[in-house]
Amino acid sequence: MKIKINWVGRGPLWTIEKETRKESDTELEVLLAGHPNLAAQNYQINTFDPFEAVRRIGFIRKEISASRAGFSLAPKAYAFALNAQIKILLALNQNPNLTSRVYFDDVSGLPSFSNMAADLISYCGRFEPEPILKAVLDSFSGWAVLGVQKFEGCRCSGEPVNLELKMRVHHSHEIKDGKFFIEQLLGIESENKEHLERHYNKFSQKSKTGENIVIVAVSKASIKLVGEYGDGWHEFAVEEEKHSDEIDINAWRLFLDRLSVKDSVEAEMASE
Amino acid sequence: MLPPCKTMPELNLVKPTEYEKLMAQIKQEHKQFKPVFETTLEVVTDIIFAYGHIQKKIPVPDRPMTLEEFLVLNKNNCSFIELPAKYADFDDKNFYANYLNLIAGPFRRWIGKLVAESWSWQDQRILIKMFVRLLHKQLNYFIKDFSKERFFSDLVGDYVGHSSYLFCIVPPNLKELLEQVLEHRKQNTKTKKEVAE
Repeated sequence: MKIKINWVGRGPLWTIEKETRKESDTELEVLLAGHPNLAAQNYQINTFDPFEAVRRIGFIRKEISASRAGFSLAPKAYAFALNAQIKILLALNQNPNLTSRVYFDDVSGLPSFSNMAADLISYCGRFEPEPILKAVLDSFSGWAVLGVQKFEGCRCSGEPVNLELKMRVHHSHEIKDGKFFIEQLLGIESENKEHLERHYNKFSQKSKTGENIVIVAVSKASIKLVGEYGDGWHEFAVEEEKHSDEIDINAWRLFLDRLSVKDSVEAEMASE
Repeated sequence: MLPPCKTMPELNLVKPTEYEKLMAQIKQEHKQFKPVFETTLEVVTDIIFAYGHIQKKIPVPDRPMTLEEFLVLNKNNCSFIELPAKYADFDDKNFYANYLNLIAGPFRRWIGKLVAESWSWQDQRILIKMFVRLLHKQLNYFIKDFSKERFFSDLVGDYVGHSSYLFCIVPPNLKELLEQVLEHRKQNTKTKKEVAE
């Protein structure tokens, strides 16, 4: 795998070229190579002045929340992430003489996913949000632990067992045909593999990254923006929503609804 | 990624299984049943101990016991299973007290078993007729088993050394008396709560 950095032109800042897997590939390389959109496609990335970026992100966030797709789990979490990114961008760029430009993906017109993930980590470090919001924001970088559930006397594998289940969440993205796809995976982690294999009916699949994690719910939505802010035309669609019968998906939805990124940009803008 | 929080929040996203739902429902019903059952059991045992005390001291079979009479006897912790007066000045009272418990304990448990057997789940109360029938049916076995215990005659037997009064330990007005005592204790608890507040 080669990463070519474009130091001069206004085109893509870098290009990742996939090569055939070698024995010497590191775990990271294998992981990146396994992700078709990171490795196979050329990312075209643009940068914006942070205040312009905040305006753009704010508009997109508002549109997602107002759309019907905003009720879906993945866009809901993505809207939180955008809100948190706005908050941290404003905090980091308070000094107008010392600002840093914000990366946007040219194809989707949305903030660059990896840069947003980094911003979310900064947000968590700076604002120390409540544990569940922290986990949701952190899940844009990998499997984050939302919380634990004590499950006593589960008889799915015959004999009753007491389990301590870890609820995990992960958000990933994909850019395909000019559309940005955001996917939310809800996972259960347990040492008891029999429980993971037998308890979750209708829908469950093993996680590729964690052998003790089983994915029990998937929410996938797509976003397509046309025009500078997506104001020319935008489309939000729910692509996939499925979950195991044993998962109380409404409880999870309720948890997400209760979360809030304090002092959102709207509030700050209103006060100015 | 960030390090996970030190204290993980509790997040119940996995639905309880059918088995768990059923057990939770029964547990909820048990929660409502338990105080009613325990209070009834306590009152029935107290009535039997108090009425048995009268029959042991002065045999008056089939004589009803009033609420006021019960309250006097109950206030003085009267029971037919007790240390006889002849041991009042005895140095090692604990020695006999242990034997007292050896008989009083199983007797309480036996009454508990009878109350459970004659419990009506639908009405959430004891069926007195069934209780009395079962008590008289099983009393012989109880006396037979425990009469072998040392000091049984001393602790349970009457002044002439026999235990025929044991067949008259249930007052004929048990049903009414039970209701009255339950109501009396309910009022007492209510008053105590109000005073505490």
